[in-house]
Amino acid sequence: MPTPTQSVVAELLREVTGENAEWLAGLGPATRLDGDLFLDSLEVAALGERLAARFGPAVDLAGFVAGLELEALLQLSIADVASYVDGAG
Amino acid sequence: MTRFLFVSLPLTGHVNPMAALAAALLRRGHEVLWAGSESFLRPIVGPQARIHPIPLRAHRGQAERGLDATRSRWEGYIVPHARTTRKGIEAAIAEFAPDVMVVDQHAIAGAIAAHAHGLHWVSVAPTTMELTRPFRRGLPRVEAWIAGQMAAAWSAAGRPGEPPHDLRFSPHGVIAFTAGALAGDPEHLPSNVDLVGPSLAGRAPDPDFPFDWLDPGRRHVLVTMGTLSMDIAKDFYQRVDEALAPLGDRLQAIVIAPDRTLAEPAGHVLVRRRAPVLDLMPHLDAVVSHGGLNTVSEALVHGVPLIVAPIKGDQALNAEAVRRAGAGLRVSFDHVRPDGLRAGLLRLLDDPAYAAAARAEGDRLLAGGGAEAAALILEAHHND
Repeated sequence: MPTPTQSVVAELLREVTGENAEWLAGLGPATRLDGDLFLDSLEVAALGERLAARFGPAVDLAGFVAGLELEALLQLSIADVASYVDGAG
Repeated sequence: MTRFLFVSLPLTGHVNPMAALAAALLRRGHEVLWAGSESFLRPIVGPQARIHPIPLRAHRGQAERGLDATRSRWEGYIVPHARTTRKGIEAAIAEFAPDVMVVDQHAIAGAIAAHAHGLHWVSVAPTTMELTRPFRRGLPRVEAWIAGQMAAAWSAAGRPGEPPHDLRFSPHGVIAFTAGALAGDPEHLPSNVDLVGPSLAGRAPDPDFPFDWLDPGRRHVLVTMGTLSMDIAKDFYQRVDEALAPLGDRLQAIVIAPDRTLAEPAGHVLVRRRAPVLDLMPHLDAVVSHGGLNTVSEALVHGVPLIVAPIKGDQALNAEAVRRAGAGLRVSFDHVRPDGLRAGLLRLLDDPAYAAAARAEGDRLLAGGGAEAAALILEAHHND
């Protein structure tokens, strides 16, 4: 079962991509933002804005990903973003 | 008379603008030698061009999407290519004794060889991917990883220590085949760059294209998404098909795609494996594209606005530049729905501001002077 934060991250992903409920149902904690969803830089920026609006300005997704190595970015999943949010918010 | 050694990669979009530059140099009485695969280069550079042949090696396939595409571009393509071509480039230098080397940003073996021989060299940027080093700002560790890849290629070539600077950017100069909004934020450009705009070479006409199919009473849209593997492309083309379906009363669409990409194209949709894009441009009212620099530049210089659905590499940068310039719209390749595509297309067709902005941006591209301007710049390099 996804955690509450993971569910929020998934819903915000649906919003920034303009996708529908069917698409959302296909997401899980292990879904990777780059490797599976091919999220582009604009969509990552939009996700960051929505996360900060939802969880507070201490949540800085752009700053978080700027600190990640290539391999970690390739593997970055919904669960990873949620655990960052839980730690930062 | 100056001797120029051209070093590129076996990629059509990279070689085309360099071929136009080489032709301009030859017209001005200079000598040009290409170092590269003869079987790849010959059809592009023509029967008269001089080529120092370097055998083409097969590299493993490149990932098509996301940061995985960045990783495989360097690990699976640029670095192995540097390894397998460096000796051939060195042999070309020994044979030709060039005054100046002209090196694709991604052909880093050319940069390494120029250093090793103390030659004057100029980087050329056929895409916008490396021009502003976009990872430096948003994903600095990816940029550091790329620097590590270049350092490894430097060491593998037997050069001591670290590369003295970024091998994608010659300290002697950088020529970029772009300008205006497409070149990105001027603050992020190298200080020694010349933006010459697109270097559009004439292409052979396509006598088979049915120009008489075009109905002058309707608007015309070209859909061209580059060379995509079918599993990636099929879904997008299907959404394009749905977007176009109810618009047959007002437009005709030419879709460049493999046969049978669309199961049953409507009467106002023409699917062709290839099309004479430059010859079609004057007939077009909008282009739907993946955002490759050549397609975007060609549309803009003809005042044709675009819907850009970027897939990888510099395409997202180009899409964003088009959007910011007001010359079109950016949509998500993966997520845009047919109704969103249709609405975007109708905006481009109904609001003349998009075409006007495309024309203005196209004028900025042409003001760079293209291949002729680049040839003058290279002459000045030799006189430095």
